[in-house]
Amino acid sequence: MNLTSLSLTGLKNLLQKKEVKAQEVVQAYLERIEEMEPQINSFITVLGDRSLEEAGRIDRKKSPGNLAGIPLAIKDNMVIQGLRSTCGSKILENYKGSYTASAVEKLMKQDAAIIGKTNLDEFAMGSSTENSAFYITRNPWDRKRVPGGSSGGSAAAVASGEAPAALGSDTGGSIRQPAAFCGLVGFKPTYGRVSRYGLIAFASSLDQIGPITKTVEDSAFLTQLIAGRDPQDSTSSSHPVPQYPEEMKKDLKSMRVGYLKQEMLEGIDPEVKEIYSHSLGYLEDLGAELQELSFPVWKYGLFCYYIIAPCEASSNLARYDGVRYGFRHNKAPDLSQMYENTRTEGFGSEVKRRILLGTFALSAGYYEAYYVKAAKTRDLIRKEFEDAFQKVDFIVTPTTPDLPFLIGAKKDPISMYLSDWFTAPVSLAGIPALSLPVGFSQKKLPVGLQIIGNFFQESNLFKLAFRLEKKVKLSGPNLHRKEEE
Amino acid sequence: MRNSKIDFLNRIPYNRNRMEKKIDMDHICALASLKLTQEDKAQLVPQMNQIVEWVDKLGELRLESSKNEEYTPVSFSLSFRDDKIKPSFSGKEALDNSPENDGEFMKVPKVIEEK
Repeated sequence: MNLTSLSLTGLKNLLQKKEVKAQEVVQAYLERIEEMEPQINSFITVLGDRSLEEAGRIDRKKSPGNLAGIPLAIKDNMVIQGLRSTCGSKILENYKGSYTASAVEKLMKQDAAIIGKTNLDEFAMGSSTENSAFYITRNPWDRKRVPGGSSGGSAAAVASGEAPAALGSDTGGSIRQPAAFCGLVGFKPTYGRVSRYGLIAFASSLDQIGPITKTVEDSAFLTQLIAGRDPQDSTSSSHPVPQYPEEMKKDLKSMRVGYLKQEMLEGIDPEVKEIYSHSLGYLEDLGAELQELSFPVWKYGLFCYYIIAPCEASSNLARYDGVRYGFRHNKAPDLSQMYENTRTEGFGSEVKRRILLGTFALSAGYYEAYYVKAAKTRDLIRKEFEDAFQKVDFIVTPTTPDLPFLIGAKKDPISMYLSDWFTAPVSLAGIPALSLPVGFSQKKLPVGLQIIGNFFQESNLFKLAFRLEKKVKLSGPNLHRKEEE
Repeated sequence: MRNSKIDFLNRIPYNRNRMEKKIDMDHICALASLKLTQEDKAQLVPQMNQIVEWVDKLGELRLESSKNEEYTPVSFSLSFRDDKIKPSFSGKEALDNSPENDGEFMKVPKVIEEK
């Protein structure tokens, strides 16, 4: 039996029946990591001995938690006490967490064996994982291509069988886009569904933690474990958390699905467009009532996002000054030059670009024209979705406008920003969305469908995704084995 | 709303009617505590101008300021923790990640200039 080709649920069943020991499982994944890492580079830190010890401790427990020693990978922008948490940046290269992020702690309480911290675009700013200060992560489906980003390390780790599932974070598409590029299920919950405590802040009104998994069931299972009110995050919601994996299998009473007008798909990759049309066919087969919708404000979403997110980032990243933690430039003659030199040397160019952009948009004389206008546009976007959800229960779009692109292909920042075309408006509205693998291009590159739901409609999203997954028969435990066929 | 055509493939955006806007990069860098080398400037300044020009497309959207409100990220009311003292980081833990400290305080280069 190949343990590294199983889904999280598959592993859980084996572990709970005691057919396999947690240590054997962790060992198998560590071996897989050793085999794959030289080609993929998913991880920044691999917790070899620590995860084995953890698994041993779990094996000795009489009644282990829900995760029973399953190895999980965590994006390296979530802090874990005592472990290096770099955020993909030189400025945090040697930073050790003083506490553990609530979402990760919840998984640890259920006896997850954290196997490593995954690579990302520096401070989660990017769509390709090429902006990591350390190295580029490669797409396991085609190593000349990017795995997407910013949670590219988490997605590549799961797609290459280095971990059965991972946590990522999504600000404008950073879970959904890499999941789509790596043929996986990526879920961004409603803003406030999962605590952000211990997630290194990029844009606080948008950031949300979510799972990257091989199946919808795994996604529902992990979401249920990490969701819920956390006193440490005042923006976390006390909305009840249903048992998503059970709910997912229940009847879906209403399946009115909105899809995008043709004109909103102009300019996207023709194969992505074709697969999107096929998915609508699958939905119809499932009994969905399809409705064409137009979203006049949608196209402003990306401009709005690239004002709001950099503004919040410029404020959040002001804390990196070389005093309390992180890298410090040591040769400055005075304090203000120490700040400047530290930040100039510590941040990479995309991060600097966004800090400068945000600083500009918030500066005197421009604040009204940029930040305030974007904040108002954001409200229009939210209202546009609210109106749509009067007519339909779900909205489906392609997850990405492009197929996984070649490493180095998008040197111009704006061409990279366009990757967020379908995902950023959803983040701005704060609603949940899931990317499901629904097809392959001629070159055998995975393509995802984004399924969007209304606020806190996670259960319904999983219900539809679960049905569509069965229909499409693409995602599943053996997906990542394709390259070895 | 005018011009609903998606200009997706407009990979190098160019807006003929754009408002001329000169970004004072030295001022913005000073606000952001960043220094740019000549090399950085050569790369970042045109990119910044291009990005600002690109997001300027938001200007196409006519907003009636009286009717539109600014977005608030959460639709539910925020609840805060009770104002009770609980154990927190020890001094050592708080200092552990600082690049320079004397065991009690974080150290920084001198702030006051000598006469």
